[in-house]
Amino acid sequence: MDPDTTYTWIVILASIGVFIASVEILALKGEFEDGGLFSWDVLRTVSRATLSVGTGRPRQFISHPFFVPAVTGARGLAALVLIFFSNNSALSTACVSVIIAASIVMFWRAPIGLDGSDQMSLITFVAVAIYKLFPGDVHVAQASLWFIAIQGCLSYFVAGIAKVISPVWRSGEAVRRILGTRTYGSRRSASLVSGRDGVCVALSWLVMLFECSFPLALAFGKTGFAVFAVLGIFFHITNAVIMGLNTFVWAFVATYPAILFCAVSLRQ
Amino acid sequence: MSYPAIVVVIIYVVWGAATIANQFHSWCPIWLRAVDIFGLIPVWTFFAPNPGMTDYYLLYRDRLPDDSFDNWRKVDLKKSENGFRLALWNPTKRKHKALSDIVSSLVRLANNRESETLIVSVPYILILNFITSHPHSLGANSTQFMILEHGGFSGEPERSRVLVMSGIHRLH
Repeated sequence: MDPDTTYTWIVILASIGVFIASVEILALKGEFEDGGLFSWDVLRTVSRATLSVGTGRPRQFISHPFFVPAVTGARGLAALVLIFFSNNSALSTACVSVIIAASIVMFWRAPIGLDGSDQMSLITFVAVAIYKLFPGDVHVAQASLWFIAIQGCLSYFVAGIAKVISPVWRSGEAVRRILGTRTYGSRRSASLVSGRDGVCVALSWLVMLFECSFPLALAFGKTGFAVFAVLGIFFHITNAVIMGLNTFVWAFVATYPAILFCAVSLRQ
Repeated sequence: MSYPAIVVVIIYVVWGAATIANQFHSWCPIWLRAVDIFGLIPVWTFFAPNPGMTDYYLLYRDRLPDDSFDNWRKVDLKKSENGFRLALWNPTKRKHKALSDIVSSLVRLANNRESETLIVSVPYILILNFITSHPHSLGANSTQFMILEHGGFSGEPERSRVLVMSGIHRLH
């Protein structure tokens, strides 16, 4: 796969995730108004910078009921355009810029409630923007793909190591109790793991083994990548169905084309 | 290699190093998080090493004109039970995550601070502001909130634990 095709796949996959996340925020727009969980009147006091921006006219502008829908709507629209027109250079550069700017504005506007998929999407789009800034430079294109691939591998590896050093993960208790919560589990998932210590230990160690070994996706060319990609997609879809982590599927699988590119480059 | 490519590689190396440093919560320098004004330095330790293994419940009750208290009411954050729908569409996860972030900060602050300073902290005011906008009993003049921790489907109802009990705050 050449760098341009790789970027096209990255942008399409990441854009689907950003589109879903944006529409989800639009569905929560009431929570961004006064009295909501993400009320600007309170959140602007989080830092000195937002406190100074959040007074006078800017305050009226940011706390206006249309501010969050406008920023998030623009981000969602840019993502939608990228899904269908990622090959149009000027248009896609503009849309990538809109997504980055809107994501940063939303990070300032509501720094709580964000998750790993928001972070991975932003990192991916910044690396794509740097590539688009120097369209003819093959080294910039490759460096950006390597950066996305390393961030992808690092995310799994760090998550795996952090679990290995945790007694509740090693004993399987974390799996049983997380899947037993109403926040990240369901009645069905709780009943599947309840009283089955062996299943919990096995699931725990399978997750840790998969996450810790994920960087090996870079080491064995296309075949090695395919094995980890299938496992990774299965892992994220399972998490989406059971835990509701739907946007993780798109944000993290979007790094896979970069991992494939780097795995093939290393093999050559 | 062109000059822009060299600069880009240096940026990526520094960014990558900052990412690695940020994974070590206790060793990571405070200034590193302070300079991350765009939210570009991630933490990848998902659900580890100390995952959230309980549910948080937000409840509130009102004080009535005769100084008695109404029953506790639970704030419902509504989550779909349908796994396949959740895999496509799950807006409430952001509310759950926000509540979890706020409660974690509040509990951390409660362990380290006096109650006088706790009530002027951002997490406390966020919850109070959120609760105040919810429906209240007719004639209620003040309200109080409570954060309850429970083991979820696997926990027994009597094993709920009160994490935070607020003071009584006047409703405007």
